[in-house]
Amino acid sequence: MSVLSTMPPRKLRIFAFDPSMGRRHETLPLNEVIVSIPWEMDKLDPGAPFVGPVGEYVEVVDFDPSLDLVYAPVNLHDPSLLADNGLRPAEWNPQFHQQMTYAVAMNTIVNFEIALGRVALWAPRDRDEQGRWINPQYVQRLRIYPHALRDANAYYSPEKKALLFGYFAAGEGQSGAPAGTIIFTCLSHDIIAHETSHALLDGMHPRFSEATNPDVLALHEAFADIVAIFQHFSYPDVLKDQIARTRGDLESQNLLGQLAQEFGQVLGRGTALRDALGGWKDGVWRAHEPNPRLLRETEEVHDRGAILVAAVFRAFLSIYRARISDLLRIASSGTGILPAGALHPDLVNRLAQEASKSARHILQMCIRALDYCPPVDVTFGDYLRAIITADRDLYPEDEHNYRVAVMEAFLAWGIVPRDMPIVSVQTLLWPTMAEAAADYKAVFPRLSDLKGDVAYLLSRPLEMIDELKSRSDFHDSEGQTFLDGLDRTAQEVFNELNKAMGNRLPETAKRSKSSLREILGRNLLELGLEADRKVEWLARDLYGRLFWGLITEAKNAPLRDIIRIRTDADAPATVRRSKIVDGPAIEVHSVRMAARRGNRDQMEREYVVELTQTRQGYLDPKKQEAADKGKPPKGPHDFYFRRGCTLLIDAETFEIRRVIRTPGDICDDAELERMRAYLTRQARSRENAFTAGGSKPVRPEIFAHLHRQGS
Amino acid sequence: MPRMEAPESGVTVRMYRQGHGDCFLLATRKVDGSAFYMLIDCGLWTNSEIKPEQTIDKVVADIGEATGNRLDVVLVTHEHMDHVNGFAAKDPTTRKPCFDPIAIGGLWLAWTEDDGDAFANSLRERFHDTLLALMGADERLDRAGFGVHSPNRTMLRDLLSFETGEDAADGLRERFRDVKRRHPALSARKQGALAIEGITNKRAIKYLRDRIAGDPVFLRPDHDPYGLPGVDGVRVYALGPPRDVELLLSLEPQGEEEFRLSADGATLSLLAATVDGGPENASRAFDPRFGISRKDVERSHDAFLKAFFVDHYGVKGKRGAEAWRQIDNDWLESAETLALRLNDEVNNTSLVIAIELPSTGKVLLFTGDAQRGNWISWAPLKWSVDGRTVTARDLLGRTVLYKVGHHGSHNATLDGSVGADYANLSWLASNAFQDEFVAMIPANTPWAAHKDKPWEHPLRFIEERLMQKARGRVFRSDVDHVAKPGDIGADEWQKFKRIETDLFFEYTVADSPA
Repeated sequence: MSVLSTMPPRKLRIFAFDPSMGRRHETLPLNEVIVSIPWEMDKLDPGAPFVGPVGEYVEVVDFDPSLDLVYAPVNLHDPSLLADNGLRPAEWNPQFHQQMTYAVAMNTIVNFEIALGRVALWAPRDRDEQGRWINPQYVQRLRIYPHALRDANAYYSPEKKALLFGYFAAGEGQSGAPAGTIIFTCLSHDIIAHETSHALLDGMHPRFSEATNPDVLALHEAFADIVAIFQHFSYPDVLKDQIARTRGDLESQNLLGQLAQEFGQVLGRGTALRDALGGWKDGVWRAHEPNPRLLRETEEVHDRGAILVAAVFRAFLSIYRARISDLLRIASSGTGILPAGALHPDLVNRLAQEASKSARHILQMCIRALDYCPPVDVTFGDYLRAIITADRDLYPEDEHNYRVAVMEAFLAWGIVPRDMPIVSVQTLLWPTMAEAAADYKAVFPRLSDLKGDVAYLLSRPLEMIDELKSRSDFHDSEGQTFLDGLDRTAQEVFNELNKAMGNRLPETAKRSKSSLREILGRNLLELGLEADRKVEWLARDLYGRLFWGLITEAKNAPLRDIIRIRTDADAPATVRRSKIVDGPAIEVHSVRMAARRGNRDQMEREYVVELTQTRQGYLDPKKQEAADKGKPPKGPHDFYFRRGCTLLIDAETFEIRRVIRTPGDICDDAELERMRAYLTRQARSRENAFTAGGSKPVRPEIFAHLHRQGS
Repeated sequence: MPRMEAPESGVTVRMYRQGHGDCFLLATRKVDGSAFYMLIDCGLWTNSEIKPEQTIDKVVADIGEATGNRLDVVLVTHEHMDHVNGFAAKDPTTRKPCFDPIAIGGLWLAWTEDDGDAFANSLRERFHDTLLALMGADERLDRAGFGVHSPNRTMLRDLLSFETGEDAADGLRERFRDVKRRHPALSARKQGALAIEGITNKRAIKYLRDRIAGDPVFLRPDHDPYGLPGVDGVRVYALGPPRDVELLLSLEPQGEEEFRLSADGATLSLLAATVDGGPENASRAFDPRFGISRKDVERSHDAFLKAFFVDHYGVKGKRGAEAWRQIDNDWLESAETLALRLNDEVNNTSLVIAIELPSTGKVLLFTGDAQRGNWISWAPLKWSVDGRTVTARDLLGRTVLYKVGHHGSHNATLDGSVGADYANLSWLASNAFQDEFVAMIPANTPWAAHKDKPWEHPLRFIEERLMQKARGRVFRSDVDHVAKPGDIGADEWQKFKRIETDLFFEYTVADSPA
């Protein structure tokens, strides 16, 4: 192998928070940090230029449309930059802006990949410029525009798969920056991390941008804030400074729990944009006291999101407190009460290590939980169950009581799963297949068949395709198109994999071309972080379609019942029908693998399979009734009602470990009514006095709207 | 048309049915027995007529006939096209202002129009800056090839029409160019201010100010109730606009910072980027040594930069490989949000009046287009009248006629409970006054629903709440007859006396118990 695999990480300078730190004498030492990005992320020859930066995951294109100006791209492999960890922080130099957006975005992606044990993929392009649905296309790179907007705004555009950052002049009389000077959102660590997290979450869960209940978009916001906040704890100098300043008490006011200082101050708040810890009132800073009723009274997306962030932060604090209690006793001759004055630097170091460990653990729990969410209509309660279950499946013993800490913090903020009579770390776990089957009172299906089938699907996809070809229940033309698509994807996987390997393998290996059967015979999802991202994307798609073949088989009807997937012919006419077989359609989004290292250092690997069904919804119940009976009213439907299920399948035994279902199934009118009631309420509380409200989640730039003015 | 009679007691309200716009003529009796006439607003959104023949000049002609060409007071709630452009309308044949034949006694305006009030002046400056920024944004969209009906522009242009009183900002733009030519030495903002003086809405107000002898009355909520000249006992309370800047502009709380009214940074950035004539002279974010114009990049001898940009962004106007990811015009979408905010803010400067009748204490409430912040500001208001204290809550509880704000849109009629600590619909018409409660909604719903981006005016939910509260007694200007709801008895309906013509509805609030 070449020198590339032994390259040390790429180190780049960034502003630790934003440029405002460098303008205050007190915080000047916190102005700059250096982030390390594993060289494998962008395996580039250090002798060749690296401009843009345009790498494997992101591409920075610095064009300012309001001025029609192009800023020349930075070359991170310029010898003077390679030798000095990139450009030094400079507000006045657009090339530093390019470097910083690249570095923070990549750092965020790295955290994500480590937690999930697989490569990150962006949401595919599935609509054309007119908004019509098209076959999903692979998008290799997230695009970053550091100077796209002239507004106090920055957002992730799901349509363009791009981050758009704005800049604006500071108004008069604000504390964050002198009047008239320019504030760049692309120089805020937190804003970059926040927007990148939106993109990563969208890549995993495209349906989480559909506001089907008050929690969905709030979860998007909260998650993005959580990532940005806990990334602060990965910068040792910043962390040590703040630990020393607060004498280890991270519950007192500090910079770590705050988001977007400069931005918030310039917008006239005089404080950071958001603060997970507390806030100023009447000139006094106070920590947030958890209020279990607040969630019920709060509708606005960011306000709801802030509650989730506060809950997660509370869990972090109690974990941190538990981890440092011994240190405090040692340092205080057993009293636990530290003497007055500055802390000993050794103690600061140890406290910082514990804080950083706790933060890393909490962040990983929060990211891993994303694999344990239902595919649609997620709620905060679901997310709590996801965090607990994901952690339980990785660490059966809760040695440090992390799960209790999380549960306690969530309950303190009133986050409880719907219709759960007994809340405990046990009941919060998503059901296993056996539990789900027992609760269904069904004859336990012959799941051994499915186990065998899943193994077959992954190890012998070509045979599986042949078997599908012999199925008799496919409609002629659509069935043929489906089968042709399978063949084509298989061939594409082969081509891409050959290409990817060809770039890495020595010449001799390249010449001995492997066969289609040989290549597809290996489990393509097992490559984890080594995978070529295009191959990974194709493989998820291929396995997803094969899984569809499996789940639609007649013999799997009992399984479908248990996971609440409906395929009966008499389902309401509004339920989307399959083109390939009779009955309601099932969408299999993807089959992906989650790989994590457990506490015995063993690799825990699971397949994550997401199934959804879709039904057309109408705000008017009378129209719904007519449409359900097959007499749709004139004009388009008002919204999509979706139900679904996430299955976690053990990668060793192929057993279904967890069944994560949305409440009700696609035929459930009570659930449909619940969503309708929410959308109706939304339509009334719109903020615009003219146009009709957001009953349909069609607004393309949904996050633009949310982020404007940091509201 | 005959004269409009003043009622024996109380106030008669004539609601004109011109279209999407407000025009209310009120008559009451003076001490000497003659009629006192007050006109509240006169505007019509261009081409929004409910019946094509009922044009704004017909309305003005009717006002002349009804009043014997004499208005005691003209009151303007706020400077939006659909409330003021009638005052700038010209007779199609004589080309003279339609209002010329009508004598105008006094002009009542909100304190925000007072140019002797420093706060009002800074507020106006802020509005002007925003208006210019939006005009610039519209021009940039135009240059980028978006037609006037493109989805990126329709809302912005509509909102500009509200603010200027004419077809989007086209007139303003021409005037701006003209001012630039004539006064090249002035700053762009000064030039803009001069240009804004010429827009229809401003001309309408100027016309009224020129027509009266002396100065207008600038009404403020912290002032004693106002009397009607020559009329005994009737009191007019100004409830809004508030002088509290947070409520007026519905901005974020400002903490302990001293608040400045100047336009915020985002607006100024947009202004800087759009108004100064385009990218060549717009203010840059970086020193000139950074950044090369796109044109130069495309023609560049720097093959490397050219290749990078063309590969990763694409060539202007050509459909490149990833043209769907280009962002040429996304930044201009900020303009729509800004325009909506400006619209809200100007609506919130609406002069809100409660007209109180002397014997029964009944109140007629005219809110202009007041939105949330304005409504919120009413609760703490109180006045000392003849030794007793009158609170806003009292006045609202005695309200028997409500002119529904902003065509019944969202946020212009607050919903809430009797127990809420802010003024809302449930506060209106309490106890016995409920039996007489009537609402008037100026709206042209079919027209609004057929706009490129339909407007929901009135909002169905608000209309339903009003229908329920008024037990069916809701006038909507685009509905010819107020229909009796099925669950209301004939006896009760009988008492709801009204006049319904193609041009107007007329309803009298008598100053005697119902």
